[in-house]
Amino acid sequence: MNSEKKKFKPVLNKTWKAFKMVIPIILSVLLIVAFMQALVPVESYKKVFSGNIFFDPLIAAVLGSVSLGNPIVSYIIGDGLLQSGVSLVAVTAFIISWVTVGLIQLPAETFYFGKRFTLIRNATSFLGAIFIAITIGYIL
Amino acid sequence: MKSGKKKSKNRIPLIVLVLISVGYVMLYFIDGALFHKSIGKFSALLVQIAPFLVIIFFIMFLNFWFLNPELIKKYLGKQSGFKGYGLAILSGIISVGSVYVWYPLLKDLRNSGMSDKLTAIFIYNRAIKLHLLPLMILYFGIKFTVILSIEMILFSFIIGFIVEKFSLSKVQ
Repeated sequence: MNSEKKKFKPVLNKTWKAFKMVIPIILSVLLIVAFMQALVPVESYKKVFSGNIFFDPLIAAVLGSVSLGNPIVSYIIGDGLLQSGVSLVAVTAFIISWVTVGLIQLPAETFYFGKRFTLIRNATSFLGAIFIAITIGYIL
Repeated sequence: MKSGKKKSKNRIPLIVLVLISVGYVMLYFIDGALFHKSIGKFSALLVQIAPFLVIIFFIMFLNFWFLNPELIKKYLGKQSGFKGYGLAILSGIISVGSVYVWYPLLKDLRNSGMSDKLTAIFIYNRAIKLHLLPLMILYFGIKFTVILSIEMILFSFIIGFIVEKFSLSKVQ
């Protein structure tokens, strides 16, 4: 009981430290998404995402793969894309590849696990993002 | 030196927020109508997300309370079979913090005999963020969140087997 009491404050501090890093990120993304929603007409997104069941998730997965940051960002952007008429399949591919494929992290991952492991893991994750997105599109 | 570098890295999100805020101030003078429209949309988005931040904080707290890399090392390093799969999935899902923090530990575990398959399964399941599930439910619904999570867990097995089959780490 006493040790748990001692543990409480450091854990609370650690949580707060991690959490307060997230707050400015969330606010920044909300500001950008709000601005984009106000500025860019819905029709613009439809030029890129035409509704094709294969190309939409492919484009979205590429965008997600080259992006880096807290997954919250991908949810907010994904929601914005949905509101703009982009398909759930594309948005799903975007948010999955955001967290499973790390093109920017490739050097670090290669350093620790080797080139072959990293390339195979990321390539499979990329294809997986598209596959899962398409199946979700069929299920929902 | 290192802590100074970390401190300045920690300030980046704040600096970005300040820059975007400055951009908004400039927008007010350049195009007042667009500014008001953007602020209106921003307020709506913020009101939507705010209650979920409390839940996120609480789950993060629980994660930090119960989980630490040493605990993962203790249970994952020597496990195999179905128990190993279960632990790789579970620990991947509940692990918190940057993936860079976990790379050295995973490398250490691999050197201690953890398979490439379990390493890949752990990394893939890190994509399912336990503390962010409430937010995912908010944006995409509970049905989507549940199906996506299940599909990702199942797909992590495929990733694990493919990586294991084609990875040459054992002979490196």
